[in-house]
Amino acid sequence: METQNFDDQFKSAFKGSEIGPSDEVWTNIELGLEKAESERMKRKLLFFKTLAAASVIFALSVAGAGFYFMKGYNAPTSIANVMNEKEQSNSIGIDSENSPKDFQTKEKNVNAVVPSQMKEDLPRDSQTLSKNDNIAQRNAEILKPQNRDLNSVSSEIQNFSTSLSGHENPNNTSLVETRKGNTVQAKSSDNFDERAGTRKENVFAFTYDDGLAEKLIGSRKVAIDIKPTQNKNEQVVEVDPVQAMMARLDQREKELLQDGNERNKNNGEDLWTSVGFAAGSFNPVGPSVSPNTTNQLIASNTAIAKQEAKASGTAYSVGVNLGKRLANRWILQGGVNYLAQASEYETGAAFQNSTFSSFRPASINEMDELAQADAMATNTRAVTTAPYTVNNNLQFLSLPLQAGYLVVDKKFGLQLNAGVATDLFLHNTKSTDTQGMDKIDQGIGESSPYRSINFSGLAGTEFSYKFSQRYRLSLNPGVRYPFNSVYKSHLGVQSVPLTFDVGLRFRYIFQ
Amino acid sequence: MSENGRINPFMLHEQELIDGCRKGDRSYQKALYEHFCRKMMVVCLRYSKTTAEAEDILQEAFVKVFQGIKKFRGESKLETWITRIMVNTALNFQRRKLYLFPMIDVEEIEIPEDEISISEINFSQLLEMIQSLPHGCQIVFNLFAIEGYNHKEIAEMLGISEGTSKSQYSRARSLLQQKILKEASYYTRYGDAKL
Repeated sequence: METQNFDDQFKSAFKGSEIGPSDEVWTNIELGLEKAESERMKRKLLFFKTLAAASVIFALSVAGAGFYFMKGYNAPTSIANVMNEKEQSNSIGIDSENSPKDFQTKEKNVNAVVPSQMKEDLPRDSQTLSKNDNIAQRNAEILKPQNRDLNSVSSEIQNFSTSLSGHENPNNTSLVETRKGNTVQAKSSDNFDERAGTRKENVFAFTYDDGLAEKLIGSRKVAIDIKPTQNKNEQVVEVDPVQAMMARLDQREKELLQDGNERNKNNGEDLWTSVGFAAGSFNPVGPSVSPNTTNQLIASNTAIAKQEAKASGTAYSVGVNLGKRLANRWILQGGVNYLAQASEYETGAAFQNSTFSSFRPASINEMDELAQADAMATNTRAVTTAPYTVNNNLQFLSLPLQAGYLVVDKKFGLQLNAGVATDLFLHNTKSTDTQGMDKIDQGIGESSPYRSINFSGLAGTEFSYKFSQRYRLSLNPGVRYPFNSVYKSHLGVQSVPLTFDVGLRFRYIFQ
Repeated sequence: MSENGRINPFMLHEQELIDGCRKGDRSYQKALYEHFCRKMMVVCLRYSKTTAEAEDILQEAFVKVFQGIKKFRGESKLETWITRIMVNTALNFQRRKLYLFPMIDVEEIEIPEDEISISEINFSQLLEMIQSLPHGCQIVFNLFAIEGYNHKEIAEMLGISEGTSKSQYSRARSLLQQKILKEASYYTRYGDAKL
């Protein structure tokens, strides 16, 4: 009971008691809130920076990987690779003496015979080749795939005729090719042994079903036909195996390119328009105030001007764009955007109006004007105040023009963009929450401290998703960096805001 | 709102203050601060040794109040919610000291059965007495006697054992009684001269 009384007495004694803190506490709370706000902004900025950097790194990685694999795809054109494969096959082959390397290296001129029974499969053009056609072209025609539904290589070999009907030259390595549909069978003849009445053949099969394949089937001894029958229906063409291979690869590349073009035609994404918006933040890079003869007041109030010049803030834009595909992977796009940049800074100066009835935030161009007016006027119109926050809002009309490279051009798209934007200054407003302070609204022209026209560099990536035949949605992280200070050069105030933003665009594809 | 644009916090309903603060309106934030700062200063003083320390706690706690007011769901009175933030902030401040000067169990002190009255002592003196207590005793006494937490809750809040909380409280009460008795005898001898 006594304990309760003791505690209750204390509780009662403090109930309703009040002690006033010092005035500094509220000032510190305000500073704490502003600090927390700026930290939140910094975190947001860091997020956007990280996002932009990550997307650029991702895009570059994808581009690099794409380039590597595209290059890698062309690698089979390297004869060395094919030869290595052949050598490896031969090393475990039936007869190592009769390696394909031999017939590749001994003689370049080899012969090929297209049996009459295969002629129907050949393209008409290949049967009417003129003598002036180069070998590569002719080979390409001969080796052009005609029929995708083929018997397997093994069955081809089983059906392969044992009669050798090609032109023979015992001193040269000869290559006899027989094609049926997508499969070309080839026999190289070397190790001619007239006394034994035999020769050895290396048998290859080339298939064109889903890619290039070349196999050494084996080697065998066949009897020499001393008097080979000259079948009038057979067409004899000379085939250089290296050139044949190159021609075959060229042909394949052309086919792929054609497929790609046809696919692009089917996509029909040649011209499009898009609407979108972007939001982000900007940070001036190296803001500075350098006094000169015409801006003495700015020089004397460097701190005030610097506060404005170094203010960071948020940026957003809305606009429409038009895009055109110039080449398979290159596009050009431009448009019209409304761009707004809002920042906050603290200042300790204000200007009185002509009737001295109200105040307005200090402006860099007004400082410049006052510096050129008489000193008395300057002293009466510019006043020092307690620190207060100014909200500065800049508005531009931006005309971007960008070139883009399509790293991935499928349902999911990845595009790298770079270009320039012409930024036309519209107007800016300076406002403050402080009571008794007027708002400033400055339009284009001499009354404004901002350049009427400025140019900015643009770079970014575009991740997109095509969700129907005509619509594509894209996410666009990017950076914007003006080539010049946003302030007029004669003011001596440098501020180049580097903007990171992330945009969302809705694209309509014209048919 | 007065003519000079300042908001009179006592003219507004509590919900209006909350709504204004939720929008981040600085004038409403100041109004809320002015409405509660004097009461909360006493809370902060009870948990600190000096006025400067109390003001640091008050400042940090009010920043938390304005940052967290969007999460205030009105399940308790606004004053109770703000007081809780003050106490938690003060405990965070004092935890650093408690780390340096850890609480230890002390022998149970016999509490005199004589009834002690503090009615003749004003709250400023009582505040001084509380501030003069050792760190651990000061915090436990505030939490138990004035805020109304039980020893189990205090033990959880401070990361100590329940026994330590009890012994710290006993010690605090004993020390306070001694101070009150000393003060009372001073009054008996010199009357209000000290005041």
